[in-house]
Amino acid sequence: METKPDIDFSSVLASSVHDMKNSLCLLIQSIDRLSEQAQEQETSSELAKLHYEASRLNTNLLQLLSLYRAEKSSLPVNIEEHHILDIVEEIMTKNQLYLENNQINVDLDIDESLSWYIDIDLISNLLNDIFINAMRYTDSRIKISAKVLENQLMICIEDNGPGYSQHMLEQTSMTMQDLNLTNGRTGLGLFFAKLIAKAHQNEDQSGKIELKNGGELGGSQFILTLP
Amino acid sequence: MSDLNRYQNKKFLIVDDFAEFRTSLSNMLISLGAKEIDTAVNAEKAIELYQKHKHDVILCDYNLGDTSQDGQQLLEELNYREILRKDSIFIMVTAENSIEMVMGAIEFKPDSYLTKPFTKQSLKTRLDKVYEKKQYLLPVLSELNKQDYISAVKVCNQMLKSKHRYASNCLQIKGDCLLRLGLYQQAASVYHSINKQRPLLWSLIGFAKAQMGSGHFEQANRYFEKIISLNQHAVNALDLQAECLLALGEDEKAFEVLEQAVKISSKSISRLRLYADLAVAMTQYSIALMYYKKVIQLSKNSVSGNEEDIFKLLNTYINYIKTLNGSQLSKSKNELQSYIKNYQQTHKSDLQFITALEITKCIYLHYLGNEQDVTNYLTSICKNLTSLTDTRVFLKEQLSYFINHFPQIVQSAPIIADYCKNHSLIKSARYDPLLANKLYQQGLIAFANNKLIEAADNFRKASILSPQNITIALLLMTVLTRICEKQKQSQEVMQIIENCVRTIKNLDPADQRFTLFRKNLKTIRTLLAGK
Repeated sequence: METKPDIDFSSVLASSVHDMKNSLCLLIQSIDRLSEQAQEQETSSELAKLHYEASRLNTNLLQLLSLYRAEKSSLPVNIEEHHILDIVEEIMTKNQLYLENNQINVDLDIDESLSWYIDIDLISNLLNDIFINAMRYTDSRIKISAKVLENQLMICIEDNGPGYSQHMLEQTSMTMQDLNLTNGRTGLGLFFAKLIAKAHQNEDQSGKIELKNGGELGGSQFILTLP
Repeated sequence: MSDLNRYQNKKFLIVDDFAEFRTSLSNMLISLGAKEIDTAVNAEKAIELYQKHKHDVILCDYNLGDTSQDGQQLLEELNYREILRKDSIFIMVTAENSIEMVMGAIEFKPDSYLTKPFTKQSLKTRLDKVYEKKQYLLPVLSELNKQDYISAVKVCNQMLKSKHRYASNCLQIKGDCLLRLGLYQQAASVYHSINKQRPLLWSLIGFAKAQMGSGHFEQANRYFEKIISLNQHAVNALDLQAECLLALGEDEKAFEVLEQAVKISSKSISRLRLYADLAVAMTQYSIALMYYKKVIQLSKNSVSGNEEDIFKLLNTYINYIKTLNGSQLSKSKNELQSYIKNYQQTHKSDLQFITALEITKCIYLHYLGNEQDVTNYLTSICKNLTSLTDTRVFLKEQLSYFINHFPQIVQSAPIIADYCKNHSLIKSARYDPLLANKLYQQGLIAFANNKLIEAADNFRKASILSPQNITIALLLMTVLTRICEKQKQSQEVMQIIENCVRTIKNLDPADQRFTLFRKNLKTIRTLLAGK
């Protein structure tokens, strides 16, 4: 009988991501312990950078996996009702070390009782990715606000940095096929964000993202709208 | 309570097969103020520890290695054994939240999924959130701990009077309780109110279940179709859809739906068993054999035993052999013979098992044309049957199979035929599931008006016309149990109840109907003990 090696790339990918994330998990926890003991400012700041890069690596791994799945079929979503403030608070906790070390102030404008219908994993990853970007480019302030407008949820993350480049602003208006994926990480992140937003559907509407400059803080402004 | 000392007096259980994670998670908990922390390397150890200490918080890795059940199976096991306190916090730690994992957990969901990597602070934030929710819901949860679903619904109603952030959780619990109580109309209206606002997976499934309970299998089927089109991984919805299709007499479609479900997940024993049963009905014997073998393998250590599946396997072998020729034929014959020989050896002191095995041999020898041996075995079966004081379910099933499929053999053994007749093991020739559903609905109306005898009569007729319908069997059992409580139970009623149990017993314990089933069983046991 003839047998071909039966490799399912999806499961190979899933299991290596699993391994990599186990390592990352231990790595991040070690960094945390070290930063608690760190005395010097310089050490703390190096550790904060290390922590930040490790989190980014993690985000990338998750995106990779989701994108691969999305290519095979439509991105599977599990829509449930969640409190938006819970999600945002967790993102801030995750990035606390970096925020403290870089003295970034985050303002929140989200009602405690505000809840919406989302896939919590996908939306958390999306917002975390955008938040990480904001932390990197902001001068000192970030604001996250959320409200329901015309039966759609709108979440806005803005900062007082230099804002998005013209190239980035143009990208959101393009279709997915037009996106230049060879153009570095930002492209992939946006592509991912669009995919996730689009996968959130209700009745005839689907979610979308929007990039702007200006807003309340004068820097970049990322707006996610979900039906 | 100050969040600083919140976890000081709480008992924690960490379940992870990876030593480094156990240590690292322990350290995190210690720094959050925890003092009592137990650790377990696998599901088995975790159950043992939880049973002893009833921890307040369980942090369980989803992946527990190849030799253990996974985290989800652990959570289910704790629920099935009715040992998990509803106010205990169960957090599933995962490397990534795959849709398959999340969808496999619709019935027993952990309180939260915590994705690796996480920091001490993220762990605390998450724990705090779940803790606060459980604190708020505590009045309902303690009723659930007592399995007092009527009171739980009352508390939910009280809580729903004022607006709060856990209103949706309250509604979910309320719907679930109503399903468990068999109050399908009320359950439907709870779920409907949610679906009107925004159809969610749980409220859609809940509504469809309520429709099933009300005997509206066609509507329920349409809902399940919708659910699956929204989420093709909702394997539980596929199981229920298959059940609806069977209740509508659409066996072939049911088989296709289950085929899809088995592809997604082959963890649930009841799913595999039903798939194999349907494969037999579709004369797909090789598929049936494969899945009966899986079922027997998976249920090896279960308390309920797997004798029934063993006989299904052996009987299917005979059917399979009839379709073969050449080298395949002799190979399969050898396989069957070695199975028989093995089981004979391992169960030699179990007279009931040996008797059931003799039935299989009769059928096989009859196929081989060896009528003299058939007669010898029939004599032996008769002798055994008269000496047995009671018969276990698998032997009854085997006798039922025998008389319904091979009446020409049983004909020459009046003792067997009489036994089957006295125990209502002979299936009615009339099979009309659609009429059965109508009668069932009429029975429900009578039941709601407390006309127990009329309800029982309708349910009984319905169950004869659609003997495999679990919903009908459950309500028949429920109303008969109620009647038995009021007046003296007769032998005849007990016989019918026993047959209901045979239909319901393979119900997945995760199903809300299992609660009503278990409650009926308890009542009957108490009645019998008091006799």
